[in-house]
Amino acid sequence: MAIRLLLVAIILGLVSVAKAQMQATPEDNKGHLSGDVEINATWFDRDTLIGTSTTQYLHEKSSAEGWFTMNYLISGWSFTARYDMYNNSALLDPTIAYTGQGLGFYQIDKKIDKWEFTAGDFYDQFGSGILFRAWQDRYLGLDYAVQGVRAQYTPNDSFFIKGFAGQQKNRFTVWPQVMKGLNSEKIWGIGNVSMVTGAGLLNRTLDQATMNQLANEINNLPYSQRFTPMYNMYAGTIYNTLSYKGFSLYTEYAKKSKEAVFITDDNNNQQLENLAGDVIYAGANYSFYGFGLNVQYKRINSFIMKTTPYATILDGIMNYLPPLSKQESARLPALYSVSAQSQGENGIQGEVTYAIDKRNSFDFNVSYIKKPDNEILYREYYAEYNKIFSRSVKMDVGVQSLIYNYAVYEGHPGDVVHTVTPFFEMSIRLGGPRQIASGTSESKAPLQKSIRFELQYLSTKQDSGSYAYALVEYNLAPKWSFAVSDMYNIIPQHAADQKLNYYGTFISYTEKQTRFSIGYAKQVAGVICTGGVCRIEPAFSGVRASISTNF
Amino acid sequence: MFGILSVVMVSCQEVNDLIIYPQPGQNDQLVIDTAKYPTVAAQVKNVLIEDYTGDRCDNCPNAQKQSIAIENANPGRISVIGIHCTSLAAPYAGKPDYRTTNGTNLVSYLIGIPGSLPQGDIDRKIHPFTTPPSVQLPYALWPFYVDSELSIVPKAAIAFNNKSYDAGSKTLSMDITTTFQQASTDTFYVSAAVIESGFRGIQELPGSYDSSFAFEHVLRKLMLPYNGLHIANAPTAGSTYSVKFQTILDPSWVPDSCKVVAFVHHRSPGNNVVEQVQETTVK
Repeated sequence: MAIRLLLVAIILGLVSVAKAQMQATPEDNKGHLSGDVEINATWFDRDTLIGTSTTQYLHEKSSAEGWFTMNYLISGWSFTARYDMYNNSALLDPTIAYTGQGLGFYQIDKKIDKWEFTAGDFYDQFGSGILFRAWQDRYLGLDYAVQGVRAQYTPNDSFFIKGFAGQQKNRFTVWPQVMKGLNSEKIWGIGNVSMVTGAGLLNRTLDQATMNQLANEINNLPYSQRFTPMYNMYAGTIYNTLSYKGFSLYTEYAKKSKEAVFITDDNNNQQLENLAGDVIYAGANYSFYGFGLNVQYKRINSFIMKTTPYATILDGIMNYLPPLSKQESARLPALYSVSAQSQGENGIQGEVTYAIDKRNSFDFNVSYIKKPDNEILYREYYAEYNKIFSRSVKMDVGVQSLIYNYAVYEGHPGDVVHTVTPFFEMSIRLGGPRQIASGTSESKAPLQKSIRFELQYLSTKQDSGSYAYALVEYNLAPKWSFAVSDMYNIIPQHAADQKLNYYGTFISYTEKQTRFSIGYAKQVAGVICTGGVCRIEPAFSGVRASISTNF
Repeated sequence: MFGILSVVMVSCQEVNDLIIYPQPGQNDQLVIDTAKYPTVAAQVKNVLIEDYTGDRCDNCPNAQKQSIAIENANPGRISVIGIHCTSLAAPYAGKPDYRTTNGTNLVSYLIGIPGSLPQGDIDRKIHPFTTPPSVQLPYALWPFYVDSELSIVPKAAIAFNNKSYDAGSKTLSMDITTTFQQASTDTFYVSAAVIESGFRGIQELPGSYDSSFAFEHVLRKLMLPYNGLHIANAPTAGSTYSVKFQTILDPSWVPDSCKVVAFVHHRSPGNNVVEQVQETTVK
C-alpha cells in the first residue's frame, strides 16, 4: 500500500512538474488533462420468489462502486491514475460483498521518437487476443491489467515489435505469478493483396507457493495420474490477415506448452491434469454491395491460459477466446448466451447479411459448437428482417432457435435447453425530423421524441420454462429516456411453479457528457455476457442508479 | 518467433523434485487419510493366519494344505498370508525369490528367526504352552485356535473404500476404513499386504521336488510400516479412521490372483493381537 501511495505521489508530482513546465514551454507542448468518472449504487430488495438470497439481500442491503480516471498528456508523456472503490459490491463476485478502495490503475507512458515505454498498469493484446489480452470490463467486474513494464519499437508505419514483463492485477494487489511477452506485426503486400502478419510469445512462471500447493495435490493423486508440474508455461501464436478488395481472411494458430490445469468433467468434478493446448481460428469476410458474408471456424484444445491454476472462474485469465455465437442485445434472444470453452470446443459460425435496398435487409446466422467428444454445446439458427418504413418508422422482426448445453455453460446439472424465440421491435420517431438551427446550443434545441417497442417470446420446455417479454421505451433525445419492461415466465417448466414477473422501470437523464440513470428491476438468474465473456449471476431485485461523465 | 519459442522451451529444462513417484521395488507406505468416510457396520470376527513358509521347506506344503482346509471350512472368514522367510525360502537358481524385506522384518519382529519351518500364528495371539511365550503355533494346532478366535466379538470393523485399479500402470489404490465397535484404552494399528495365489514354481517336498507346485497366499508386498501404521489411541465406540493404500503391482503378478489383506491390531511387546481382518480382490 505504501508503495502505491508513493507511486501516486510520484505521478501527481510529475503532473505538477509537467504543469509547471507547461507554463514555460512552447504552446505545442501544452498539457491536456482528461478523465472520466462512473459511480454506481445498488439497493437490494429481497424477493424470495425469484430467489434473491445473496448476502446483500440479507445483510448489507446496498452497495456502491466508483471509478475516477485521470489522464494527463504532455510532451510525449502520459500519466494515468484511476481510483477504484467497491463498497459491499457484488460486481466482482456476485456471491460475496466485497469492500475495497484505492489506486486501481496507474501508468506512466513516454514516447521517444520510435520508442514507447510504459511503467505501471497497462492494457494490451497480441493479435486477436487468443494468446494474450490484458483488458477490463467493468460491467462484468473484470480487470486483467498487467502491472509491470512495456517497451515498443515502431520504426515505421508497417512494423512494430513490443515486449513486456509484469504480473496480472488482482483487485488492489497482483497475482504472485509473473509473465512476459513479445509481439511483432508487419504489414506487407503483393499487388492488390495486403497482409498483416504477426507473431507473439508468452511465458508465465509460477511462484513457489503455488508450486508447493500443486505438488501437495499431485502427491495425493494415484501414481498413474501423477506428473511433474512445470513452473514455466510457454505459448506462441502466429496470425495473418489477408485482404483483397472486399474479401478478408484472418487465420491464427496458437500453441502452449504443458502445464498443470484443472479440467472439469461431465459431473462437474475438477481434475488436475498436465496438458498442452492449441487453438486454430479462422475468419473470412466478404462484402459486395448489399451482400455480406462472415464465416468463422475455431477449434480449441485445452487452451486454458490462467496466471495460476487456482484462479477460479473468471479470475486470472490471460487471454481472450472469441465466441462463435451471434452477440445478441435483445433480452430473450440473449438469455442463453455462450462464451468460448477454453477446455475444448470445435465450432463454426456463418452469417449472411443482405440488403435488398435501403429499406429492406435480412440477417441470417448459423452457429454450431460442439465439445471435442462431439457432445453438442450450442447451436443457433437466427433470421432477422429489418424494414424501414419511413424516416420515422423502422421495424425489426425475426426468430431465433437455440440448442444450449445448460450443464456446461451454467456449471450445474440441467437438461440441454431447446428454444424458439420470435422477436419484434419497432421504433417510431414522433414529431418529424429534428431541426437544430445553426448556432443554437443543444440545450435549447427542441427535444426529439421517439418511442420504441420490443416484443419477444421464448418457448422452451427446459430450464425454467417459457418467457414473454415486452418493453416500451420513450425518449426525449438527447436528454431523457424512460422505459418499462416485463419478462413474464408465462409457462413455467413445472406446472406447480408460480408464473413470475421480472419487471423493470428505467429513467435516464443526460446533460452534455454527464448521464444519470436509475431503475428498479427484477432480473432472472442466469448467464450474463459481454463480448463473449460470460459469468453466472444470481437473480436480482432492487434499484440500480448510475452516474457517469467525462472531461 | 516460433524458433525462439522452440529454443526457449528446449533450453529451459526445469528441476522439480517435489513430486513423489513410486520407485521399482519400492515398499509403499500406508498413509493416514483425513477424509471422512461412512461408519463401517459391525462385523463378525474374521481370523488371520500368518504362515511362515519356504520353498525349500519340505513340510511347508502341509501347512499350506492346512490353511486351505481352514479357509474352506470357514468361507469368507479366514485370511492367510504366506510369508516366505529364512534360508528355507532361498530361491532356486534362476527362479524368483518369494521373500520380501518387509516380510522378513515382520517375522523377525514377531518371533525372531524361526529355527524351523513351517510355523504360523493365529491372530498373533500368544499361546500359553509355548516356552518362551510366543505367537508360534504348529500348523496341526491351527484349526483349534482358529475356532476359538472365530467366536470372539471383534472390537473393530474394516471396509475398503474408493478401490481402483489401473491396468495400464498396474496401480492399485483404496482406502482402508476402520470403525471401532467398542471403546478401548489401547492403541491400534493397521497393516496391509498384497498376496497372490495360484502361481506355480519349484517346491521341495519330502524326498522330492515339485517343479509346478501351486503356491497359495504368498506375501508379495507388505506395506510400510511393516508392523503397522498407528491409527488410534483409546478409540471411542463408533470412531472411524481411514488409511490410504496405494501400490503398483509387479508385472509378473497376475492381478486377478492377487488380494489385499488388511487388519487392525495392537503393537506392543507381548501384544500384537489382530482384532479384525478383511480382504478384497484387486479388481
